[in-house]
Amino acid sequence: MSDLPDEEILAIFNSNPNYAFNLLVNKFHKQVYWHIRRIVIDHDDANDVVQNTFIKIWLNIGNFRNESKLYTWIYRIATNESITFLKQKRNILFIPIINVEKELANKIDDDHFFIGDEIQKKLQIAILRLPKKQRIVFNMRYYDNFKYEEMAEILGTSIGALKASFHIAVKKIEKYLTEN
Amino acid sequence: MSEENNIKSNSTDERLNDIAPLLSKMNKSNAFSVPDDYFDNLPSVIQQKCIIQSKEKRTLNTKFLKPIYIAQYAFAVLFIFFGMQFLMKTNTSQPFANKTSINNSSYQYSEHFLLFDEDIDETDLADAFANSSEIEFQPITITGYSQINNNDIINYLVEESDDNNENIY
Repeated sequence: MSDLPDEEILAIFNSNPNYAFNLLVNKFHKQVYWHIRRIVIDHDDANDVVQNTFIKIWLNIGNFRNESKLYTWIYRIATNESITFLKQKRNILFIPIINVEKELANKIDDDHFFIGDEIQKKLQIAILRLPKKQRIVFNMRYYDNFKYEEMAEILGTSIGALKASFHIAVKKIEKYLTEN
Repeated sequence: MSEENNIKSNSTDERLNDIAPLLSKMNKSNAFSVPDDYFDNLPSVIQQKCIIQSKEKRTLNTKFLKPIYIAQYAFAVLFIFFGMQFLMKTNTSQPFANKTSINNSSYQYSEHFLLFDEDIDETDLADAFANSSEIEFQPITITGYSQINNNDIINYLVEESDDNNENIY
């Protein structure tokens, strides 16, 4: 049931929105969670953001015009919610954005939900050192195997810019891993 | 996100090996975990929150709708009231010249033009003419009479001044 095509889920929304939304959540909740988790790092934060994301989807599904694919729309909301969360975190803590990333890197050290080895910890720290959008591009390409066309729809950036962004991100990470 | 992506990821890995050999050798497995049963419970948690949000949204609409309407009506009433006050004020501030029956066709405003006001008598007029060389009283035309100039007015003032007024000139 959770593998129904997006078009069928959307069609069910007209007749039975609660059931259709249940299908949608069951289909996408894991993917959306991990996408958010890689941005905000902390599980509790990711939990909040993923719930806010699906609440936004629920409140705005009526405005979805089929101009893009359903999952790209969902991912766009999830990405925006994650970025908004990090911005709010910066404003609350009164620290510049670069220190938010440093704080996230420190969280990895203390996070008992981080189960990777030392090399993976270094990789996560290297990823956190990237600019926000570059980090998202890298995660989506490296971990989720998104096509550049799909990422372009989600992030509203050209394919060329995304390819360049990913290439630069890879070089930076490689350099960090080599030096550390 | 499917087999097609797996094929793509292989070619991505090959390119990655060229530009980032260290990164390409790394294990891509998930380094983060979640609490037990987290994903099993997440959909129901989300559903409940969405129901609460929908209820809150409806309550918010009815709770604030009435005061918004009241505020709108109050604003409209105040706007009309003050608007009328403003209009009435502007209507009463017409130039004094409109109170007279003088034909103003040739009446020209100068910097110190004098208004025909019942509070101003000929003494004031005479003082003004005597004391200020900057006043230029333009010739006016009174219906039924020939054009009046400065000399006419001064002569009139001299004739009509009382004995106490010594400073016509």
